[in-house]
Amino acid sequence: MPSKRPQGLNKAAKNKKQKVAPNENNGPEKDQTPDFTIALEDEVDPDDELAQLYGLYETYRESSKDSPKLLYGLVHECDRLLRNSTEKLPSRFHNIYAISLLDLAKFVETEDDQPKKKSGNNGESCADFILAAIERASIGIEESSDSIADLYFTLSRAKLALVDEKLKNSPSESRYDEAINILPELKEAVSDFETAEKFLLESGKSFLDFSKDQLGAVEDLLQIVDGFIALEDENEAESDPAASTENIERGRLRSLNDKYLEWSKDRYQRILETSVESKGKNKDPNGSSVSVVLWANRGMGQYYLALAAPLLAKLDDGADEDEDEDDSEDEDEDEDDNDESIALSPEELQSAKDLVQKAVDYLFKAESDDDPETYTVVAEALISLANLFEVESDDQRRLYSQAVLRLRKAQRLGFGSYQELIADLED
Amino acid sequence: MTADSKRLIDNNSVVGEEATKKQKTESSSEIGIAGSFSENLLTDEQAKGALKVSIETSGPYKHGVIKPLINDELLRKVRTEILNELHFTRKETDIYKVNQTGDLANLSGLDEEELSKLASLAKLREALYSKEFREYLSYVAQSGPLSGVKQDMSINLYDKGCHLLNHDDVIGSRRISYILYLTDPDKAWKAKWGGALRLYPTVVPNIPEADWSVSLPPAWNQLSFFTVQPGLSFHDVEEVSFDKPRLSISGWFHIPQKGEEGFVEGEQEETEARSSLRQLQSRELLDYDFPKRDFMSYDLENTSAGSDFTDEDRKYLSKFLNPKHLTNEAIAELSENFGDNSMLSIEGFLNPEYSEIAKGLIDGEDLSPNMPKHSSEVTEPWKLARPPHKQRYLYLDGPDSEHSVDKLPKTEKLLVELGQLFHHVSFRKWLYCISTFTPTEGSCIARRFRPGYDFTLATSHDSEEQVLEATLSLTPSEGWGDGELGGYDLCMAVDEEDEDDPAVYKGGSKEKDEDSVLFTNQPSWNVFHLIVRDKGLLRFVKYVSKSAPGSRWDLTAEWKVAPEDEDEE
Repeated sequence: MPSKRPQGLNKAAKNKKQKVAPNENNGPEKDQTPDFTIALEDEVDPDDELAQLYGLYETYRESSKDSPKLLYGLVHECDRLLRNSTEKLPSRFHNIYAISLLDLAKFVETEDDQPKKKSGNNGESCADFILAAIERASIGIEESSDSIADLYFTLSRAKLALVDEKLKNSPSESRYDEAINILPELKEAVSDFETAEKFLLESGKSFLDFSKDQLGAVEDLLQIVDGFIALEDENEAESDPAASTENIERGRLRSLNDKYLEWSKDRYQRILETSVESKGKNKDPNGSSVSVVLWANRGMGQYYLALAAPLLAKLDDGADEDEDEDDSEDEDEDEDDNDESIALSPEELQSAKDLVQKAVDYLFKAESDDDPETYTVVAEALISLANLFEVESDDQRRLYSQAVLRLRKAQRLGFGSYQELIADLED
Repeated sequence: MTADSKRLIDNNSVVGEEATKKQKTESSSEIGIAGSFSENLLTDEQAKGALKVSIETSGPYKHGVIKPLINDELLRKVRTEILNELHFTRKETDIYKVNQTGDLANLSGLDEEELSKLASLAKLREALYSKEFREYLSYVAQSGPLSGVKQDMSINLYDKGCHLLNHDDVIGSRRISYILYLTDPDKAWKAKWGGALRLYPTVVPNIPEADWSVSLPPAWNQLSFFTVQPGLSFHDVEEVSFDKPRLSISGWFHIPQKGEEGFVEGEQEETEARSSLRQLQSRELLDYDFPKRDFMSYDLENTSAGSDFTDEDRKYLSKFLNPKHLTNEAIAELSENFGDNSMLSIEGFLNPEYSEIAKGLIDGEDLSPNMPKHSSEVTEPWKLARPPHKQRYLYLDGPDSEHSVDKLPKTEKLLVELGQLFHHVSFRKWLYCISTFTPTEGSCIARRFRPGYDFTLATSHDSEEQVLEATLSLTPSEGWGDGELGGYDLCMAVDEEDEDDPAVYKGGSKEKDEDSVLFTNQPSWNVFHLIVRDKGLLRFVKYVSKSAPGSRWDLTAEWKVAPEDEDEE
């Protein structure tokens, strides 16, 4: 069976070197783009163009989503089907079209930071793609009678994306005013999500029938209103306190943050409750909702972290006054002296500990090897919690070592490099 | 053969070796020499006496620390000059990774304009090799007289990931090794950033202990030094593990040269003879090498040419291996590939079920916070590969005398089981089918290379007889990047005509780098690599960085093979 006897690695390499032709340009092209396999559902008619579109979309959903290539393919295919169609198309078609446009917007945005080059293939801006997604979802809602919850979820996400885009592009000096002006659009997006929920209940479906991407509006909303806090802080710092009554909107963004934080929490909580109920009824035998449940746990964790944020910020401010590790010339003298820097009352400290502990409890349930970022989120929360305990206490050490374990996990799954942080925590 | 310190030293850029023969070194430049040092350094007799005593009583071998050494203002100027005027290039071999000054081979070789840009550096060199300081150092270290003519300095920048593994610095006429740190003068270096000079005691002369006993972290304007003692002065430079630049000037004071005060006819030759003695690798010293790599002899009746690879063999191997590599078609393809290249890599080597179990177990072990660090923490059945001027890693060569395989913990049991598979007659038949070699004796161990500790230095294959070497990569972690974190297994060809360090594979010419490296095996999961190792191949596993996501795990086997004509019979 064996063919020829190998010469030995060194000898084989030397002989090859002599034989290899100097012109290497004739070799096969490197970095050829791999072909995508289009997954078709079982028993799907290969001539059914819609089924093929759904297959292509499933391929995109399961891909790493780090390239717009498949999205351009999807949009192109949707365009073609729309042009050639003589009948009304189903809501799933419109939803795929809208989602593809919306996801494409992210690539337009991240491809280049230069505003002039912010464009798609035909010069469209990020906002153009989002507007097209809103239009498509709205048409879908008008034309369809079935499964429009999906379309409302997408519409809600698209409207939030537009709010975010507008805020990002507004000059920093007028961003506060822009945020105030944009509030009706934000409310509309929230209202669309609530409409989706109504349709969802009517159709007998639950949150667990949706993916975390479809429900993404909850997370997007939290991110936007989280930014409101910073805007409010900046605005307060710049305003003349004596003239505060002139600005009737003052504090409005902060209160909105509180409101929507609770709103998001309700959604996450409902998902988790549904999950508990469905377990009993064995409604989810394939475990397809696992990622939604993980996501909801993460959301709950982040909710409690957000509640603790003002207290943690106070603690950080106190610590910063005393300890500026990188810039201080006599850091050694200051370094161990951060007991006094804790500017929290005993009640505040206890409250912060309780909130972060709750966050950690939820975040533990969000950990997944499929999403290594979750380990870093948990580690960060554990470090925050550890910092609320006495320096070098057993509790602090225990929490740091739990955090280290998670940073190592994230690192070994290829998500980031945390060696310096690990060394700091183990110090 | 192992890589020795010669490599490093020969490749260091030398600021002033024998550079100052034409310059004033003895008397006329002495005015102002004391001013180049920290206040009263050379005149404070009490401090001098105390330093002498502390060096005399130091261990593991005579060493000392002076801080501050140089006039602060002068050293700050030197630092600025170096950072502004000199260019560093990164060099990497099996024993080090470091940034060196590439455009400064010899300070005296520079023209006046260039020299004027490095005036403070020249002044520092003059001070260090001045008669006063040499006498001072010779007295406190009780080293005997030091040469003022033969000057030997280099500038190194260790940034994140840089390191220098264990060696003894014994080459030629070196008498004192020193390192002067030029870290950020306004921000104290922290020990946890790494970069410490670590000194190793010896088990017997020429055999360093597995662990260092003294660690001297860098500090601005600190001179750390030790007397170069053949067979004793083993040391390494800990990896810098934070993004902080550790700039230093290091070098040697040599024994006096002909014509200098203190010159002794034949002294250098005697030192050189002593230092080369260890190169002979006497049998007694090899007794201290671990692992021992005991070879198991095989019964060849069923494995030589003509014996069939049967369905029974397939059935047995399928318990461990992916059956797709055991079909006649797969074997034919592998055999052709191996015949052409003398190497092959097989991904997905273990079958999916076995692979999953193995990954779970090794991953759990890898994540455990109880990774042994000090040699005393290594417990049976694991052992520590040593001495550290050749290698350091954990290995498993079978159950220890007190345990049977069944009583081993799960992970160790699995690794031993896989090791035994490599000796199994069915596996050897498969090996014959793809390689045409009949294994006659084999040795297999499981290895774990821990971040921040482990490596093997290059060993060469000097025999005309070929051997088969296999490595099954069993590293469960991802995120090893493109080699920056080390842990890769590398084979390179030795070019007998090349005078450069044979193990320099990064930092040489691009063409040479690409040509000399014949095979690399990055830490990965479930990939089997097989090579025919022939004469002139260097092989090593690069030091695993502290920043690596986990340990490199593998199983490595070596088979002696029957000569070709015997196989054909």
